[in-house]
Amino acid sequence: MHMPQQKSGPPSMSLDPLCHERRVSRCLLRALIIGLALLAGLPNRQPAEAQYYFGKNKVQYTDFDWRVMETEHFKLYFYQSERDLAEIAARSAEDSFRMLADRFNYHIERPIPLIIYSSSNFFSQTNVIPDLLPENVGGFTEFFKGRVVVPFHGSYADFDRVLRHELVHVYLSAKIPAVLRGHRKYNMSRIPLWLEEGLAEYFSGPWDSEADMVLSDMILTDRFFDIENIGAISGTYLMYKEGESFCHFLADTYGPESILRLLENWWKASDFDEIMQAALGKPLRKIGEEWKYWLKKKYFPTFATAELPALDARELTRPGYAVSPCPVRHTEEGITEDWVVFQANKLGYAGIYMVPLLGGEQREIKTLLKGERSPKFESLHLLRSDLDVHRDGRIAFASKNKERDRLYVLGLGARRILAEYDFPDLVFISSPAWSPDGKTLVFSGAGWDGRVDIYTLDVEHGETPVRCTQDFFNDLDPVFTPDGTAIVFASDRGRWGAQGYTNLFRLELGTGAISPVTCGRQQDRQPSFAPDGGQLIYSSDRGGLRNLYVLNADGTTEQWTKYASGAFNPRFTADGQHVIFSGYQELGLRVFEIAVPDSAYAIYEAADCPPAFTWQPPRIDAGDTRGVAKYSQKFSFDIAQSAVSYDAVYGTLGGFQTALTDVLGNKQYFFLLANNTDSKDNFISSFNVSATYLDRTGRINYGYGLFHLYDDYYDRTDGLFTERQYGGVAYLGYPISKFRRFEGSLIVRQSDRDYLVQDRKRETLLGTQYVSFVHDNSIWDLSGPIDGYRFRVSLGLTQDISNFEHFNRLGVIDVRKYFRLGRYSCLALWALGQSSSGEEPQRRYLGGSWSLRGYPRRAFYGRHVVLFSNELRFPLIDNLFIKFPPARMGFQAIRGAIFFDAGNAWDEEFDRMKGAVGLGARVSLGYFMVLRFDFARRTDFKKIDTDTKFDFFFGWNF
Amino acid sequence: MCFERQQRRDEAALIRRQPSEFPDLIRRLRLVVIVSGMVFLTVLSCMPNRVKVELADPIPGAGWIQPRLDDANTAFLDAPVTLPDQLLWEAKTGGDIRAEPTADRGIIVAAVQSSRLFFVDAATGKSLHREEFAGPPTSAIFVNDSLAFAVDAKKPHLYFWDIAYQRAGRELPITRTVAPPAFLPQGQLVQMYDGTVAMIGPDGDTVWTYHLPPPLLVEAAYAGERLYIVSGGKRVVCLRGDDGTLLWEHSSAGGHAASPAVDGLVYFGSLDSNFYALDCETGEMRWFFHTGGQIFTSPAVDRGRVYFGANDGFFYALDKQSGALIWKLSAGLVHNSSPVVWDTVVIFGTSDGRVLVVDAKVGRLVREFRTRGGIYCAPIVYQDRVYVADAKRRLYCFGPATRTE
Repeated sequence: MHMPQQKSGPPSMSLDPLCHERRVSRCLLRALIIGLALLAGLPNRQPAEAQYYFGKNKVQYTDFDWRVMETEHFKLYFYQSERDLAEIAARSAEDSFRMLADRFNYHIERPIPLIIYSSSNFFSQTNVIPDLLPENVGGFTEFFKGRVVVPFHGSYADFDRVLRHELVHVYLSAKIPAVLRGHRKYNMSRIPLWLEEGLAEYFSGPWDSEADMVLSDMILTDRFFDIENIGAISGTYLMYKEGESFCHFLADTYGPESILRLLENWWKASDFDEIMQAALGKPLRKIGEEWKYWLKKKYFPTFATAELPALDARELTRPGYAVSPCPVRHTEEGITEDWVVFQANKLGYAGIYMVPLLGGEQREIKTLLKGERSPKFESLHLLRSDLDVHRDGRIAFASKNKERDRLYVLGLGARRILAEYDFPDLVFISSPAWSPDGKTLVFSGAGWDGRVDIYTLDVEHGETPVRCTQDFFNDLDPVFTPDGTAIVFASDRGRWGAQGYTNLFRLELGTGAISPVTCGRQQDRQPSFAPDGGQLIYSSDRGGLRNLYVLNADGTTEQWTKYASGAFNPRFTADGQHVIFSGYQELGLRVFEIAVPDSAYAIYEAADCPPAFTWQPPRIDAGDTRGVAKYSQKFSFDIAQSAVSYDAVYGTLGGFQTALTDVLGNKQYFFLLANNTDSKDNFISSFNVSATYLDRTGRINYGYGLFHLYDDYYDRTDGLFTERQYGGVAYLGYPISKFRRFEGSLIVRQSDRDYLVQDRKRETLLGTQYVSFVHDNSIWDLSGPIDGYRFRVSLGLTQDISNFEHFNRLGVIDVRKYFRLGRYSCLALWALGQSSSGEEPQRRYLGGSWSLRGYPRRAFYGRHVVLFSNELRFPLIDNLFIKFPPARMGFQAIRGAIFFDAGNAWDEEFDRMKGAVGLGARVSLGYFMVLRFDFARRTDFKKIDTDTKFDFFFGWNF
Repeated sequence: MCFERQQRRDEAALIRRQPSEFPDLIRRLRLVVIVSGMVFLTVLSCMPNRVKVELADPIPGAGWIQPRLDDANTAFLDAPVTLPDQLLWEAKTGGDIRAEPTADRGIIVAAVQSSRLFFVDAATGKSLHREEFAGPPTSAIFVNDSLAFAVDAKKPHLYFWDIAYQRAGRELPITRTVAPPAFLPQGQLVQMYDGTVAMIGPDGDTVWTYHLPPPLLVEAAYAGERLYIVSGGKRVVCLRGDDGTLLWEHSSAGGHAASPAVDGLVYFGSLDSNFYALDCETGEMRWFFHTGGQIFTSPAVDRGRVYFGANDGFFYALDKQSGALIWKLSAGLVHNSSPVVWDTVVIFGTSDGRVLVVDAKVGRLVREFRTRGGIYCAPIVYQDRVYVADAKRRLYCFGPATRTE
């Protein structure tokens, strides 16, 4: 899949000891040089930002022992503990390669690098790309070196599908350029993201009930994004499913070969609309209309006999993502009543909440646990792990805690963690469930090899869980039977498991015998017993879409819901009269409640399930591999780009940067070459070069490099001067967790300045040490941070080594806090303080849209800086489309702001605080830029000026 | 603030007016390069990319060499084989070649996807001529003294060039076309485009048309005064040659991407991974053979067997009457190179860059040659040599170690 850039930090002002003043044409190049020489080396930063100031961390907790397996078309990188998985992955990759070669009618001749991880927790540590990977990323393809990176989640069928999905990207990135190259067409339309992901989904596997659920809901609730507006869901799961649906429509209407024909005709036009016209004979708009009509014909009949959850059930939560509801009787504020505990992603952070089961429309949702703000609850695996609540109020759940998952017990009454379990042999834990007596927990656990099995844990006495299954089947959603003697769980160990179908099975704890409970080509998940034990309710797609089914004691099965979307995680209430579940509607999951129905939509006879069936995922034959070797680093180009710019005053300049990295991205060499000469006399001496090495293999990231920089500067204190700097740099970064890190750098350089106006020179050897402590748990919307907080404390010391003198000192404190007020609104507070002293203190600018608004950019300049900024951010317009021929423009996330800034910068004497109040608007242009419009009036804190200052600039909110 | 800016500018200007810094060679050279580049780009963008052809004689009469060696597309050269032993020459073509080259009069003509026709001396590989068009040309065929080919562009045309490929000959504007033309014994032209099959008489007038759902991608086969056409959709039709009357029609489960061959039966592969044989008279399916992948190649038919490659990585030889598998050879991954049968051997290219010469009877590999890139067009046999083009923009000539005249 394409990975939208994970943004978590703006390009704020740089803590750069070497840059005093930047002229327009040079500053970008300068930032590039400095960024690569110094700041690109600092660990675990977000990409696409010249100055890595804040940002979350990608932590390499695990030391992997990498190997390489060569097959006919792949180089597969794996670590020793996942050797079995590697052989299965190799076979799956080769099979998919052949299938896709046929479908795309194209032969990729170069070997494809394939990197696999046995768990999503390990996958999140990959250095192949520097971005942080959201948990919902199932894999990715990196296009510069063509690396495919895929995690394993326990199901071989799902793994096979994800692998094939990523290989489709490899094929598309090879096929289309080959078609264009063959026709000598180079400046042609890139395949739209929605179509590319749609093709990847289309070729990776059959259309399934989950896809049906999403499209059905979109059509029936009028939330479908047609071709013209599909950009509004770019990068989302909805886009994937719409794209996949479009491909199925094309195949169904124009024939399966129409897709290949579309790719083969890519050279015929530079516009995607024209390409469609050339390939299919109709304009894109017309085809889009046909598609929409095709979908309506497909799904509208469903509505005649099926409902949507909100029309049939009582809604307990607001729109969003609320899953895994568990009813419990609980006393809160002296009132004993039925509550529903659930997991949800509210406003960007996942957490555990509860809501009264009854109580009218004004039900207040209480927060029990805030997740994703601290390393202890880094991820609650919202869509992959359920929680369970015992009747005594203990909540069992799993969460990622740094490298691996831990099992937690949260006290409902105490509102604190009662127990925490860490199992060194388990990497991933999901869906814990209580035994009826509350003394044992059963859960799914994945080991280092990726296999998912059932475990039980005596919570009172046990430290080591007992492994109940030990095989390669994917065992999920375990629950105890009411008598506690057996466990019912979902697994792919059935006859159709090799194709990814999951049925329910029963494990006798005494004997270990496993027998089928349900069977068939369907997904049966999340079983739960009625309080009296007479019925087992679960979610299944045996009828086409995910609905609730009940297995009776006599073996018959009843269908209790018939929704046109989907129903999951069913639980009986304590009285057995109601069922709580999570229902999909209007692009989200909510918690619903229904009464136990008097009659069922359908009744199925007792199934005659076949006995235990063993299947094995196919593995690569030894003869089909070219051996396995220890991983050795071979470097190749990772990025290469050049830039030329022209300034009317300062002339032209150009630069080139490139990097060499190994396949895993653990070790990197960055090279920068630029020249900013404006005469032949100093052509040689005007070269700016740097070579930097960065090692991100382990927990501690470090790097070192050499550089030579030469540039012209202007400083308000020193005037115009040229400076040549050359020396070495070393840096070290230690991420404490995803949210915090220490970092430090040491720079030793010869600094030669020629003050042109003052007609003097300064040549000296300087040594600078910096240490910083950074925290960032903020989350962003399209214009900047909107929740959480972040801070940075930095101390710097520079010595004049030549003269054994102190040169300057620097201290910076930067704190930013965001108080969430609503989905798109918050109150943002920023406090910044800087102080520097010494022979050549470091000065900082204030003024302009990025700091003190109402004043010109860089209005104030001094070695002491103080700034307080308060901003109320709120939504104005979610999406604005301006259509005028021949183009149309779209703007997302137009936000408003009311602000009050106060601050000043000074050298010796502090004058007074400068202030400004005002209004602003932010217009997001996707993930790459935010346009800023500010209207401010200055204030001396006694009165407000009547003169309004307008500022237009770009950049993220602070 | 304004004063400071002005002061900065003044200081900068002061620096730049230092005598030693102007004028200098680097600045002059930079200026020259930039201006030259701009002029060059301007001139290039104004250059016309269409060939102007003067109208000359009407469509020529009989006598042609079809890309698949005969009008029935059997690709069977019934002449004693001279096994190639070595690469004799390779020539750069300037683009990918997917359409089958044509050879006659000592010249190899290749339709290059980068909108060019490439002419090379068959004996030496020396480039004789290149011509650029507004779009990629289809397979060319020699007709009497003319070279006929179509160009697929915004304004598609059918061209007839004289033997010396001078810019002279006839040019027919036609509706958008994607299929190479085919010529019939009586001198008629069969042109297929956008859902229309058109028979054009020797005088240039349209004799008849027949409409098929588009796309029409590949040339028709002609045998027994009948035209056999497979559409890019799922239809196969048989038309009477003289008036275009539909004689029969067959619907496949998948589309078609390669021309059929006719030799008693109509043979063609489908994108549904099946290879079919239909009765020429009735269109009734006599047999079909299932493979593991889509079929993008035209078959070759000899005395007893039919040959084709499929995208399951195998090359097949079937009994042409019964469809029984005689042999199959694992060769490459995808097959786009239609085979040619030369007496007792069958020759084809593979997507992993090999030219295979295989004993047609038993499927034993007789010769193997490597090219730089994958091969996606059919090889041709001309004057005892084998010519083939690859995806690395090269044309190759393989022949015997000592050439007998």
